[in-house]
Amino acid sequence: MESLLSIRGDPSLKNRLEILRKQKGIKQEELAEALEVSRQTIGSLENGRYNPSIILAFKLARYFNTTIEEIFIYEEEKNDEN
Amino acid sequence: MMKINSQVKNYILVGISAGIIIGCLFAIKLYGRDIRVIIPLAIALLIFGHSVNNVLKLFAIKKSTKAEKQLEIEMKDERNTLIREKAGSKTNEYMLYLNTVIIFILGFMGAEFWMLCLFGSLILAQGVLSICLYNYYDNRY
Repeated sequence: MESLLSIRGDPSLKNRLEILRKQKGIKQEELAEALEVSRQTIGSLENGRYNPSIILAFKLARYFNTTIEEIFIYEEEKNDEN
Repeated sequence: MMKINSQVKNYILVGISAGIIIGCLFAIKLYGRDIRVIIPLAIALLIFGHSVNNVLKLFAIKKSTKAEKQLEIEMKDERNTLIREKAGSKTNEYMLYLNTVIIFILGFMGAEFWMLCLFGSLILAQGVLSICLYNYYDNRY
């Protein structure tokens, strides 16, 4: 069983963070400063290496004036037992 | 966040530990390597190193408030917290293996029984503590 402490992002969770950030024309540093997180956290989120807490997800949604679902896309694993 | 008071505390600790280190070194020079001198020397070195580290950290922070804010962000950052927790958990796991290896080495070296029991009790204490903390956090969250 995968450890809950794993910082590797779940592959079933994708996000549009990089697109939204570039649309807004801001750097990772600026986004990190606005959300009071480290730049590395933003980088890891964009690369899908890290999944944010619910609080950070809300902060991101509020920052981009959108909903969590618009930023994060959860794709359930397909069952191959056919 | 670190305050001015902690800076004064660090200076005091640096002074006291430096005094103890010098005293212990003199004692070693006069009476030889006695365990009664080595133990306080080791503790004093530990405190000295930790306090000097804190003093230097506070000096670096004082230079700019932006750096202070950044440090606070880095400390509170959820990813960094997760990494710290994971590193702590892995360290704990590896220490268990290391302790076991040390017990075997000491056993083969013909170490005294009480010494083997001491190291063995560390593993036992680690297991008991782990169960206790698990139950504590299980009730808390």
